[in-house]
Amino acid sequence: MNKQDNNIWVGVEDLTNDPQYLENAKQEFFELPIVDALSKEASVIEKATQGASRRDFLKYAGFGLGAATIAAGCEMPVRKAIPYVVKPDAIVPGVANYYASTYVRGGDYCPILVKTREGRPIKVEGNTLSPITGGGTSARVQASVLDLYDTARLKGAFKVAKGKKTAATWKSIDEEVARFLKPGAQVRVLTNTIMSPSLKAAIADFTTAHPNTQVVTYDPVSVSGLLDANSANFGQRVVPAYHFDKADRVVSFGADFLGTWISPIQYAADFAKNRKSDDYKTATMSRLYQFESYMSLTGSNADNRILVKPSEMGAATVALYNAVAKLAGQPTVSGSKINATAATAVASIAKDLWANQGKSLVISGSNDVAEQIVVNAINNILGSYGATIDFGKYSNQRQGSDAAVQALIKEMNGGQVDALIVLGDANPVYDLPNGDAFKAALGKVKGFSLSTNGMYNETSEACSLLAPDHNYLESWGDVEAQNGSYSLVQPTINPLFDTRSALVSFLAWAGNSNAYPTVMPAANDSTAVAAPSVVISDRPEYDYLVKYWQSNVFGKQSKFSTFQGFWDSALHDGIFEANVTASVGSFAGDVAAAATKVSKPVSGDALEVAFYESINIGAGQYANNPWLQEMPDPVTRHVWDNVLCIPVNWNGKKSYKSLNKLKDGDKAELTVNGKTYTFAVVRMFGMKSNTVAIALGYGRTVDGAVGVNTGTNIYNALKVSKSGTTQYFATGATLSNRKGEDHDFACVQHHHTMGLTTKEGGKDGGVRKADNKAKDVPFYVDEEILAYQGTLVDRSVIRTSTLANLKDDVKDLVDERHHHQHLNDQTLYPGYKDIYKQGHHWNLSVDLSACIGCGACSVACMAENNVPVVGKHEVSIHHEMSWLRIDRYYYGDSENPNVVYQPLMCQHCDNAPCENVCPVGATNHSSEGMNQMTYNRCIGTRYCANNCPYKVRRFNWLDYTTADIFPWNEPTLKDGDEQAFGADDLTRMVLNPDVTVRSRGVIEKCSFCVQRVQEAKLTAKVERRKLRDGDVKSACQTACPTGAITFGDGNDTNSEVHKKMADKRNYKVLEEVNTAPSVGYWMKVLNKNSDLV
Amino acid sequence: MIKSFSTIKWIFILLLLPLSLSLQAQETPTPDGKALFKANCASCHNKNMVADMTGPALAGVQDRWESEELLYSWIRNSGAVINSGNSYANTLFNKWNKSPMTAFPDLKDAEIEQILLYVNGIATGEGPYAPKDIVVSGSSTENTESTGNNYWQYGLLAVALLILSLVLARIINNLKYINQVKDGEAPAKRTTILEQLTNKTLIGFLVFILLLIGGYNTVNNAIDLGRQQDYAPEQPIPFSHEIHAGIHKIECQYCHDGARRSKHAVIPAVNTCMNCHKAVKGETETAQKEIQKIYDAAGWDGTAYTGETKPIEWVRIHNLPDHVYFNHSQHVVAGGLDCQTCHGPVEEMAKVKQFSPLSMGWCINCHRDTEVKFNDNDYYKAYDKYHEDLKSGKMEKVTVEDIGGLECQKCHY
Repeated sequence: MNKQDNNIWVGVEDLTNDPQYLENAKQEFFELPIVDALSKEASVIEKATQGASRRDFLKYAGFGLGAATIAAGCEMPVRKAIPYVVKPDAIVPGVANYYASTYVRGGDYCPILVKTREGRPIKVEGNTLSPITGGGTSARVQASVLDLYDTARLKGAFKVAKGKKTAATWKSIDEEVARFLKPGAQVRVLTNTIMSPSLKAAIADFTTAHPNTQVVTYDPVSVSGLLDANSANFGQRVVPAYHFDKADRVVSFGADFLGTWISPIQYAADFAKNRKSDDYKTATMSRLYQFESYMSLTGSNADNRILVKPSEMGAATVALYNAVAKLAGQPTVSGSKINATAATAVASIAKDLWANQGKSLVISGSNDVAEQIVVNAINNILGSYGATIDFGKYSNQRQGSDAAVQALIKEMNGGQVDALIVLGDANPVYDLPNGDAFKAALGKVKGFSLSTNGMYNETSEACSLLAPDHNYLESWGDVEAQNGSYSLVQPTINPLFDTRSALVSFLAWAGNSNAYPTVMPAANDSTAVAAPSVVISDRPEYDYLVKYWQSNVFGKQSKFSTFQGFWDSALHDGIFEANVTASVGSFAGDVAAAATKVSKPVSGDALEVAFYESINIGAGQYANNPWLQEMPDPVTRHVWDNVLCIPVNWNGKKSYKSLNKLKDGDKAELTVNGKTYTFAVVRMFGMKSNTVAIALGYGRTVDGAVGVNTGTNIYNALKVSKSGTTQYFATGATLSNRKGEDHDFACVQHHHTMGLTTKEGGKDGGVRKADNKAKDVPFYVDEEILAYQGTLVDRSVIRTSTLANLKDDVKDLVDERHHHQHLNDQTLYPGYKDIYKQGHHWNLSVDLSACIGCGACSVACMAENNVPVVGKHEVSIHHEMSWLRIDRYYYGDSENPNVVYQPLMCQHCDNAPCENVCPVGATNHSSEGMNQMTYNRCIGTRYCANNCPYKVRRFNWLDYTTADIFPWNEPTLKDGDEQAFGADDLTRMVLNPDVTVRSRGVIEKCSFCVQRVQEAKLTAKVERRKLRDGDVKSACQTACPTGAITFGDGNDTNSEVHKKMADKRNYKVLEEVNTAPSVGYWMKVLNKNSDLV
Repeated sequence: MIKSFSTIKWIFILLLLPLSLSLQAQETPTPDGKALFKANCASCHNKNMVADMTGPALAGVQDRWESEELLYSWIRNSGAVINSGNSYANTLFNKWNKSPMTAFPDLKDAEIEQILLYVNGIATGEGPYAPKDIVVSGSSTENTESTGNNYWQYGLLAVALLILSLVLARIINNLKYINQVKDGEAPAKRTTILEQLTNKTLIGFLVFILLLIGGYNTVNNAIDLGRQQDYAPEQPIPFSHEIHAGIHKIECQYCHDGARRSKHAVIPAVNTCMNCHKAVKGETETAQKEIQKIYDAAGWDGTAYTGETKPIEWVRIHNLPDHVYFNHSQHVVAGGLDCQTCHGPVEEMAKVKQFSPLSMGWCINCHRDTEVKFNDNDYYKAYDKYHEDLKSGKMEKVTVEDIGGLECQKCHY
């Protein structure tokens, strides 16, 4: 293999051969939890610590046996079967129905299919008809179905006084609203981005009735700067359409467009399109340059990362402008100096961009108007407008204005606001830099303040009325995510609680009594509040929506002559595409003026902080979703907390040095903008020295039990710039030395590693000595010194290449595999392979070049397979239950490494090491090549997990699913929780009825979504046809936004997966140990600019 | 001692075998009124005896006829009685639209008596009666032995054998003693009966036997835990499959429509019942009372739906554990099985019971034996080797087992 591959590592511990790490890597189960688990009762803790644990164990075991006997001795319970009275035609009990709908939350958007069973949504899939997302999803979309069954949802209308809420009737809410909506009342509607045209129309109706209404839009993580810049340069305050699929060169200044920036599902899908090739010999790829200070998801997928401090970002933008302008023969502008490495890189990047005019794209995640103007100017010179950027099909996904919400605070303080309606997810008290100021101002609203959030949050607590909206799975609605791209939201379940669509609320408050049930008198009727009028329609939001579409959307097409035909088609497809002409937009802006306004680099070693939106829980609105909390952050691999990323560097001699000598899990105090916060830290490679990074969205104080006090809120450390936009970095921060330790530090980085350490093969125990040849490169390996990275390099775990070396590397890979296969063929049991040649043989292929590590697959897997949530403490002791983990490996230069993400699920080995160690035959092989796990046979010896080289088997140490009869086996997610997560009937509604809920004491693992396989096979049998390729798609496959995962029948020579497995880029993990896995990986290929090292 | 004892044991067992066989001599089944009624009368006469059906209600039938003989001859051949000019017979004939009653010339007096006894038992509410000893002309009048008698025979035999074994043990003991004396082994010792009974070997053997029996029973009972073959609970509505599927021959899947498209066969929704029962209101009071329950559930007030519904809570009979995946359409459509294969003769069940054990062994056995209709379904084309083997005669048939029907994850996932 190429030398480059010799540098692969997962963290500091394995590079330095940390003794604890080596110990953990050796043992599958490094910590037996039995005493710990049983010792939840205080008395047991004492006994356990007195060393009587064995007796305790026997005592409990004896009691358990006795209780089980008594339980089993009872008669079978009488079970009832209660059929429908009138069965809906569409529902066949036991058969899933899919409805096209749209996931929308603020600016997050995804057209979806909702899988319902017996009228109950249980899973979300991407809608492949969508030209925007192409069927991809994100972790947030996958987890959204759990929000529907959140026990913390508001179950009706409430009135709030002094932070206490009391249940109220909708009538009383409407009356209260009417009392203050006097003619001339100053009403403000505060909202996050609204993409629903019908909701906007309803608000417009409301505004007609109450003319002094103003809508204030803001986004918790804002792109105000971009919008304002476009407004200044193009006269359109919109996010244009970015065509990553048409861009051969992409430069991103800190925009995490694959993770969180504006429309990540769409961008990831488009980006991946331009990075995949059917034939490696003719492969072409786009190239991504990422300027950033910390390792973002996008940065980790970049071909070249250029490290700049957050404060240098503006100067770097100007430097690139100047370099490009010079090449274009245009005047340059004055700019500040940036660090030398970056400056060299900028010159090289400019050359590359200039050579790819019209095929390049520059974006910036900065929220500074001036920087965005400079970026617009670069794009203008490069001819990106009309080629890779389109103003015709602009995006509606961010519309917020930071200045507007700040102005609102002033208005409220000035007593100029009579009523404030906070719409949907907007939670300004929590997520504004000056949330406290907002809260104080809220008290000065003269009439009422009302929140329509379905949850009780920080802002609701400060409001006086709560009029909760439906969950999106219960509502009718529409979305226009991009100009002319419509999609419909349709309910898949009746509202679970006494909630009301926000649209209906607005209509009711507008006094529109013609078509909507309303208790409101007309606004100008100043007489007493009228009695409730007659309910005319039982679904007014539907009527309103249909009417809106009939008059506003129907005319945008010519395919259907009747509205009903159009509506049925749109509802069936979930989407409707109107024809929109592309618009180049003409750039007009003063770059020189903007260049003077960009942020100035702060010189010296003062610590700088980058704040970023978390991939899992966004700006904080997803904090109460345990699936997202338990999904490891792709890059830090941390769960249930926001941890401070600190840089770690090679000290040039023997070891790695981290900031303030902090280690993973140490707590330290970060002082920024005069405020001090305590965080656990995690050492990250590829960070600019003297910078740290921290995720926003954690530390909610009013939320469901899951979200409250998980992590630390740092929104109030943000600053608003002079131009009125929130800045997502801070300078002049300080970090303390170690201040204790997070005992439940839950970073899955080193959990379930493949047991490969750097020690093996080392001559001197693995600690690398200074080496003449190595110069400053910390782990240069040649044939003589195999000390470093012995096994992780030699074993086929990760294979990487670059576009330039692809042909050679493929040849090496083929040779290597041939060698392995030759050795493996020398078997005592020849001819065993033949039995898999007929029927089906299920295979799964992962393209590591396409995988961006976003985690959508891992959440989809949890949703599909009823994988339990275990909580932070359990994760911290290696008890996470995820069937599909995404391993993150660094490779290349230790100061600025590249990253490869490897989704690892059960490899379904045809020579499975787990199968032959099971004493009870609970795991064995099927004729279709599946490694079967039979829970009811498993007795929990865990031999299989111990013997699995991939470490993909999970043991139910405790009763995570609350399936047992003994409550003390159930772990709570947090101390103080009254009951285990999922112990209530509401949350259990999300369970997939086709997958067994596992009990305590059994092993579980990826099943290749066998329930989907069986279902597809049955459908084919019933239809008397052959199984077609694409009939079976695993949950991870359908979730993937980039199409990195392919599942199918490897025996079908026409199947996609067969072709993928036969491709020369394909390799199998640990093929040399002859496990014969059914999962293949395509090597990770980068398109690095060789001028930049 | 040990040797002799085991010899005796084996002799006893050999002695027991033929005895036990002879005790199981078959008894001829007694024809009882219920069975006769079902076989001959039930298709026309309502089995609740108080309501008319195709034929009149039979309650009090004996009182309506002037003599028993006349009734008997009516049953054997109604046409003859009508032709004889009997007035009651003619009234009856005319009342029932001149449709004659089926003639039963072969019914013996005793059998008719049994039927009438059964009819009276049901009609008077005294319930199905125990069949009286039948005196069938031409057959012997021997009392049949009730099965209970066998047990005391066994007991007697066991006691006899026990005494015999004790006696033999004493004899052996004595012989041994004599031998010892003869051989001059001093001191010669005679063991007492108590010593012999508390002999370690004997106790050990008894404990072993007890453990064996106990273990056998434990295992068997443990296997039966959670199984409920023959489970036939009372249902909120005593719905009779015999009437619906048996007499009226309604297709199973008319109501259980899930069987062909879902994993669940589905207990039909009340509106499925209403398809027929909107018109079929029941001819008898009992039937009307039960059908009223459907109306109540559906919210049907006789002319319109009120919208007030009350779902029926049926008692679920067939219960599989949660970790078992079973799919009806797989078996009914893809496998082409009859419902009766697993559910038994439901069309004869007035009250449904669980016919099959629904145990894993039962599933597996069927999967081992059942042939897959390999050639009529294109799906199986993926199994090219089997197709070759079938053609070449290497395989006679492909069973469910051959295509993976015994693998764990066919049912457990």
